[in-house]
Amino acid sequence: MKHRDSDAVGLAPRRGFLKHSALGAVALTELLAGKAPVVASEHQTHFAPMAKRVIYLFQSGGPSQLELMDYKPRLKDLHGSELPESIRNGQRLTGMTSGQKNFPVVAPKFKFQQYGSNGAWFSELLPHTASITDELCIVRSMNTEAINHDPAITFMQTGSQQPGRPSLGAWLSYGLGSEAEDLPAFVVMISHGSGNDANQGLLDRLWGSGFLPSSHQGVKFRSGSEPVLYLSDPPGLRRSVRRGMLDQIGKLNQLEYQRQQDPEIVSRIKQYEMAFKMQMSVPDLTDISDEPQSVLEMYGPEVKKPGSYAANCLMARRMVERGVRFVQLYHRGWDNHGSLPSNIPKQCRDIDQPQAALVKDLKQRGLLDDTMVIWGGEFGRTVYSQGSLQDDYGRDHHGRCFSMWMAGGGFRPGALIGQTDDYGYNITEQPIHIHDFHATLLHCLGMDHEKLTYRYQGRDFRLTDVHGKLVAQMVRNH
Amino acid sequence: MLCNKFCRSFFGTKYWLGALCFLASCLAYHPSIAQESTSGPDFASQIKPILANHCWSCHGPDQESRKAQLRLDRRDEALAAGALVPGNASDSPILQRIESSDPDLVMPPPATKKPLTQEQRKLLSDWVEAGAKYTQHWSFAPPNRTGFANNGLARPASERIDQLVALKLQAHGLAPSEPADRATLLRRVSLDLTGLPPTIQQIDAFLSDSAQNAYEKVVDQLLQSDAYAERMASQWLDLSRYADTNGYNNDEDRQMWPWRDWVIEAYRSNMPYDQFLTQQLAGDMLPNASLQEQVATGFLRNQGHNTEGGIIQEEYRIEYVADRVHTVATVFLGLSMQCARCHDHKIDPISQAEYYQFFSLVNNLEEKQASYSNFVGAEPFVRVPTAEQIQEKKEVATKLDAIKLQLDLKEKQIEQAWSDWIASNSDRTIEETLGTSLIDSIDFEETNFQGTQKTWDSADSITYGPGKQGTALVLDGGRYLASKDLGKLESDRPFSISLWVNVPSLGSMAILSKMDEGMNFRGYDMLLVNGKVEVHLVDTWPSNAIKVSSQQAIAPNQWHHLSVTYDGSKKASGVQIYIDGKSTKFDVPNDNLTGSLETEKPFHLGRREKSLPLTGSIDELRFFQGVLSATDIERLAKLETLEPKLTWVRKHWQDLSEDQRNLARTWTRQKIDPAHGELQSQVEQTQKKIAQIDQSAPAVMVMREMNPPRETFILKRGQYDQPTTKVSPGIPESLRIEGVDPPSNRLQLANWLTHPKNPLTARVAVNRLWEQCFGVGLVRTSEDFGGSGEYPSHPELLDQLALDFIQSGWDTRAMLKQIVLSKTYRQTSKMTQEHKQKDPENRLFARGPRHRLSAETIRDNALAISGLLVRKVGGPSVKPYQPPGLWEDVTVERRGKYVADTGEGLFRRGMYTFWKRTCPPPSMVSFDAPNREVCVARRSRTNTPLQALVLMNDPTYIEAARVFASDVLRSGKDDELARMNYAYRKALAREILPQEVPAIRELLDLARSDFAEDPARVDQFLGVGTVSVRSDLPKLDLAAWTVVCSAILNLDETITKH
Repeated sequence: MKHRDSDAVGLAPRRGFLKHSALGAVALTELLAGKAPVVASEHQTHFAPMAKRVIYLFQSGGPSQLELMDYKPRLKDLHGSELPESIRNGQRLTGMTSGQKNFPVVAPKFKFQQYGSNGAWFSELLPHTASITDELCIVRSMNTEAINHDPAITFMQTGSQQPGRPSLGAWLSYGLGSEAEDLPAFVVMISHGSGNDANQGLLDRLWGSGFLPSSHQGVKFRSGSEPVLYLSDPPGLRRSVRRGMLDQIGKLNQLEYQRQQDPEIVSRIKQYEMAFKMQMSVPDLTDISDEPQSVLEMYGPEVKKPGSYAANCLMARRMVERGVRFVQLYHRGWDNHGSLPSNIPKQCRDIDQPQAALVKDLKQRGLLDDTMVIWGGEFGRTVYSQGSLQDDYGRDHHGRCFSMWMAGGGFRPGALIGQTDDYGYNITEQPIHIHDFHATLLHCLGMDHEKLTYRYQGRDFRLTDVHGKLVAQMVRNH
Repeated sequence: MLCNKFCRSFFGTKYWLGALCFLASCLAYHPSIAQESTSGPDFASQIKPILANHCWSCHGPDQESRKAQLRLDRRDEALAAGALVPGNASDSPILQRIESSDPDLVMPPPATKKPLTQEQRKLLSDWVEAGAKYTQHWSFAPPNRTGFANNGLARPASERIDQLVALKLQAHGLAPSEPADRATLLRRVSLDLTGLPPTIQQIDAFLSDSAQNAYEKVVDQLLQSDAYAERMASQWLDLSRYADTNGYNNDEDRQMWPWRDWVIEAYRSNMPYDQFLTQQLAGDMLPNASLQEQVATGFLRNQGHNTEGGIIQEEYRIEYVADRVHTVATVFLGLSMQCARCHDHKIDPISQAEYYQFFSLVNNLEEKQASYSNFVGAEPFVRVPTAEQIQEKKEVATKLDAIKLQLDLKEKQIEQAWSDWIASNSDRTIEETLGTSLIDSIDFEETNFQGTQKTWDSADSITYGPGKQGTALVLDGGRYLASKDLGKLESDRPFSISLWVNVPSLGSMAILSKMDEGMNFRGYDMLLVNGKVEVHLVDTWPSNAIKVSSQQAIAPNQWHHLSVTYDGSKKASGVQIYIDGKSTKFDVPNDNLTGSLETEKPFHLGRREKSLPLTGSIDELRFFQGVLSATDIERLAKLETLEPKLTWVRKHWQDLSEDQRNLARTWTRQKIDPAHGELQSQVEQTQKKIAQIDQSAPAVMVMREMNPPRETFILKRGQYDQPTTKVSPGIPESLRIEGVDPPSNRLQLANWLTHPKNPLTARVAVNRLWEQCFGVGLVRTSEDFGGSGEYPSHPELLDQLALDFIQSGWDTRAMLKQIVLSKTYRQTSKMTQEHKQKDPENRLFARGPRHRLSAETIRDNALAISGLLVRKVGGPSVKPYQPPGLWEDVTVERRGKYVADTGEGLFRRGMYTFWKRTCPPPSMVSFDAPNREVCVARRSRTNTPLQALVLMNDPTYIEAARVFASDVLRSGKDDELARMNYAYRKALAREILPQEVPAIRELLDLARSDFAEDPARVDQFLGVGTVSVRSDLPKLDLAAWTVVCSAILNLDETITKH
């Protein structure tokens, strides 16, 4: 799909997508009655999609692959030894450890075990996630050039280390549009980890629209009485009055349309109706009283705590059920430069049961086939200790390898992609770069990453810039 | 009636016909119009876009990616290669390849995923048949008036706009529209020029002014207003990526708002655009650059600044420079130069080397990485005091002068005062009064430590051990002592420190310190680093600090006497280090202290504020004022008392040594004549106050040239760590102006940009002004005038305006006036069936402009309608209502907290809303405001349900509706229709139409009957916001009318300029 800069029609769903030029022939009354003819959608995939929706469980701060999914048995023996120069091999280090004289290898403190038919290793911190191994496409050979949070998370979420590009969700909103009548195509939810003091900043650009029309930016959903900003009517104003007000605004806008004949007015009328619908559908979405007890129990004890990762996971499922295209979760608190062994179990407790429940829940509802779930952070962590070797050690940022997993939505279940060396420092087999991951993700959604472009300042921009290649091994039936 | 008459005289059909006849005679001279009737497609508008998008990636200016050594961006080369046969499409190899059905031969290759359409292939074929003519890219050729016969120039400028628009309309079979009615026109021009709606008084005045030039007068008034300056500046903020925080992970607050105020002032004084540009690019390089001219260069420093702990500084420095290139090229040249950062530009003639030549022009800055804590600004920056601060400083300085006068008198008499006092007092009185210069003395005796202490924190857990004399303080690398009131030393005061220390092993440890590590190490410390004595005296590390390090080291496991003296000179040469009573040589790694050591942090024994803990024992700590003599220190090292003072005090002044005289002076000031000392401390305090004012003035980051200039290299793939060939400053060859040397620094860059023969600067600028009024530029891609940008809808008109602009002396006001006085601008915006078919987007201007207002204007409009808008110009950014918790959700360690202003800060214009880059104001973002991380030349204009939610529910708009309603109720009109008319005139500059009345009436009735059911809901509803309205208004009426006014603020027409 190609597109030149142009005004965009916001959250207009596919069915009601209004193209300016098409409006001339359409009677206003028909439009208002919702009987507008279906305009040939611009939102056409390049080939049949395997996935229609995405839930991205972003772990902000850089979770350590060594404590979670990249089992390195030799580290027990290497513990305390100096990381050989042959392994570090001139690696660019962050300003936080580049001055360090020694780089002592530190072995993870946690036990590992094999799971599933492929025998994937998981640490004891993630028992629930481990139990769904057969659903997962595990990649232990992700890599990125970035070594600090801002560029790394920006790279993962926009395909570029520097500000200015549209985010992943914005690209999908632009490329695929929305399926929901009354909910945004792209939703963002944030939860705060239980690990201490390791919250790095999240940035508006991570769910921003960059140079795409701003209607493609992510809409933040928050816990509490007003999940979407400005959703609630002012205190004292009853719904019946709001309805009456919208009716009269609609009439007055219609009269204006009769005078001015500008199709934008018709679009405005539709947006107000949609806003009214959102005011009803969002409370319906966030009211989990209709969830059976068995489902709530799956997601664990925190599911009823507003704003928790568990609550957000359940909410993500409810959103994709209602046609939200892209649900972006952020769980904060993984930046363990110190006290990693005491903090990472808390972080894992936050996420483990809920995220496994999410995958299982999607599956039992038949949604997993066309909904992809993605788990991962912006980079991994170093095998060597930040500062001197301590019991409650820390690890610095590490971009050369890190682990992610995907489930459903066209990713190959049970796949184990990539290998790292004995130190969990370098990739020895099948490196997957962020651009490759993005290309593969788009492929699963039915889009050719080289064709999903947007012309801005004379250049056809892509999510994958001028890079990226499809990783066939990650894709189901490929 | 009046209106109709007025308009007919200006828009009479006779005039339009006349204009067309006149123009018809020019047609033959008019290339773009003329070509529409000839056979071949136009290269610039039709062929070049195809070649650029489908062919030049491999057959264009980029050498490295060029295939088959064929380039199609130049006619001579394409012909020489035999690729094109002018006049014969079927013999032209490229046409054969394009039409080929063989996937191995067809062009463009299928792998590029850029196939040509049937229509495009036909155009190319027709073009070759017609001779395959190339023309220079239109925007690289100087603007010209060839489209016009000479006598056309005699007409008023705004009429020339209409002539050129009419010509194009005629060619498309369209006619201009009727003029807009006067009130609509007034609202339109007010919103366009000031971003504010007209008041009822302004509407009445205009409608009743029957003068021929009534409209022109109004335009002049609007252009002279502060609101105009704000409106223009507001648009400049996106281009300049202005924000109130640094962006990136840590996103600290910054204070660039004096730069924003400079922009407002520049528009208020109608600064010519060439100066406006020059000062922002190179104000610091102008002769005797004023503070304001330096502030102007903040334009080049508005980009983000990353203070994340682990970043590689050069990597980000390069990004900042690249951002400057991108911004300058986009804002002033309308070019997307950043394509050439990694490789030769694929479409425009800009090579990678030329990119770095341009880069070099804005690379010559010693930009310093700022630290995360206590961010003030990334150097270089200038302090820009506010008007209040300037006034306060003036007052304090006057006071200082007065005290200084008195002090000077005392100083002149100081010898006399000393001698008189000595002469008239007994030895005993002298001894008692002058005593010793000892300030503090701590012996660390276990028995009486509590008695000798200052106020110690954590003194309870003190451990004692054997000392040099009695017991000593023993520290284990974990414990330490802290005191708020000990060790207050200053950089301009002489002092001496003496102590004993015994450490079991050597390493890096702090004996004592009073230092704020989080604020660039402000304060002082005395360290042992591998046995060497190291002293820091720091204002700001390392740019304003002394560091000395003894060459001699002490041995572990034995007591050593250490002493440091300092003479208050702010020089390392004023420091002495003594080890075991002997002066020792030291190295001076740092010697640039000019500031102060003052810090609120406590004095620490046994560590710095947070680091360098000491393991060992400390004993017999002494602080003295003044510099102890070598003899005194020798005595201290032998545990003897100091040299007695009184042996010399009765000597004649002329017989005293200089040290003794200094001591005598100090004693006179502090002990003999307390009034003298009081004056002196008043002077010091007042000077401190002045320094405080200076330090609290906003820090505006600016440009400053390095000397010698920084070297610039081509960076392979744009990577900071891959420099290749060195380049000299310059501009792309394709943009060279004949007879003008290419620029070699920023000032010359500005001169080149504003050179009358620069083909782009004026075009890009006037196009933006056109866009401001019409919602779309003559070049729709106002950020891209390059080969892949859109061809102008009216190239001759754009050239006319550009040349007019230059000839007027780059007069922005005059240009806007010319545009809004045109009949083209003054047409009604009503769309007809014909418009919908022939020109749905209004690119031909057969009707007036109609589009949604910008985010800021929507807010300003609502506040102005309600009467809430605070008309204060400039100053620090403000924080209006915002939903709670947004900043905490995203900031590092959740420490960001948005605290809304109270009072006027809630009701300022949108351009003053505090702009946090990682979390911009949500109601603005909903209406398409960018996050201001990068330069944005053109906002998208979307239409979404979230916008409806903002207008319906944001407290700003509810409160505006309530205050608006109270105004309607108080408007002195009791009948409802009159109230409706009043409200409509305020919001829409027109009376309510009869067919609209039932809607408002129904809503009013509904709201009234609903609220009547439950008075509690009335109170809740009226309680939104902070401004109270008069209590004598019936609450029920007020609530019902608030609903109506909210509906009016939500109307499409209210948020639309038409």
